[in-house]
Amino acid sequence: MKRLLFCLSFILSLSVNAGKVTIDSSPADCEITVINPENGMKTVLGKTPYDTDMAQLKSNVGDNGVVQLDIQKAGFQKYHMALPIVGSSDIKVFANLEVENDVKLTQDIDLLMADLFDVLRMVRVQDFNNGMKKLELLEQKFPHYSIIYEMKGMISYLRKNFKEALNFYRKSFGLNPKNREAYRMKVYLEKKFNVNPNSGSEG
Amino acid sequence: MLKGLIALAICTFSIGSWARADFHSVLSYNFGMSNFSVTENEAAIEQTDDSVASGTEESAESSSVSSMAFQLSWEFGHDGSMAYFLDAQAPLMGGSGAAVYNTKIGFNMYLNDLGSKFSMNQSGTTVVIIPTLKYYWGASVGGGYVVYLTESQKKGDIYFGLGLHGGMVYSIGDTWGIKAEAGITRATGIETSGMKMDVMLGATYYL
Repeated sequence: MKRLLFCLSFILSLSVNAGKVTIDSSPADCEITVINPENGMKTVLGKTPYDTDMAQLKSNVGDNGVVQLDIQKAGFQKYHMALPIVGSSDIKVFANLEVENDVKLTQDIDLLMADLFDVLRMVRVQDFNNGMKKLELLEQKFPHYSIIYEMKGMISYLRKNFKEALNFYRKSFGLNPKNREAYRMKVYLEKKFNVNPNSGSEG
Repeated sequence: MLKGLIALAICTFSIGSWARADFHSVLSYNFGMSNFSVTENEAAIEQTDDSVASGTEESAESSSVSSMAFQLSWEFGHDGSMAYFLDAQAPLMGGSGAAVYNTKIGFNMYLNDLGSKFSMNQSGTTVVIIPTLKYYWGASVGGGYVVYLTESQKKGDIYFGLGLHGGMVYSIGDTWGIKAEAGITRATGIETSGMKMDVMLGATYYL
């Protein structure tokens, strides 16, 4: 009988282990907000990394089965999810926040400009092969930027691959008809090689 | 209710990009006691002793096979509250050569909110939910081979079994757990019938 009571008390002691809740993020120091879907009440839990237990979480946000979890930081896209509050469970959330779109765009253009300056430096020392390789990498990341094809055209022109240069200038002009340098070189090469501008063949 | 919650969470994650989310299958290694009470069917008993006069009645013999047993179980197809399993059991130590070999397939129904580890991954964002303590009951069908001893002979028989069982698992860390399970099986063999009882203690591992 004593053994039975011991077993029962052991099982009950396990039952009261409500579980741990861990919320972390990259970057750290993000604000964690929980919204109760029943009454819309917002509760700020704290900042990541955040550790608590299930009983504490339930007392903070209510025991409604599911809550909305928002994780946010200035300069990053807000992350939100429906988090099930499951009793007797360990819950671990790790949110990988992405930078906001305008910040991301700025970072991308910054990278593009830095790499284009690198290419220009390579062209100055006539390191055309590495310059072309760098432009090809940029082309994969930024396929719609006419400046990349214009610079490929420039390298081809300097290598005296005039037909290849014309193709790149045409591609550049096709992507951005406002690219005056690409247009000027396209017209110049078409005239130089007597190429029909519409058909693309030699006249 | 939990399925709805999880589905909701999955939907939230799935917006915008691809997410991988699933319940983990479970491998269990258990040790324990297995006791099989075997009773020979009357129709199966034949007199083989030439010294006994023809027509002499012989009553059915019964025997009990007890052994330490090892059980390996794979639980799969989890949906949060129910899972299927495949199970194999073999004796570790038997008395005088008596032994029970058993294999079965069945299901476990979990009585708490979550029956298995749930994990989700989307673009580096992860959610992991691990039940710290879970209870279940289940049923199974299977078959096996029993070697038992009568007063004068060592016999063997294959059987078909229908079983019920219940148990609990207490999680330790992210992948391991301690499991306790008890079960009873009604066995019907070609020459015997009987009841098999198992009490197992072991470890679980989330795959």
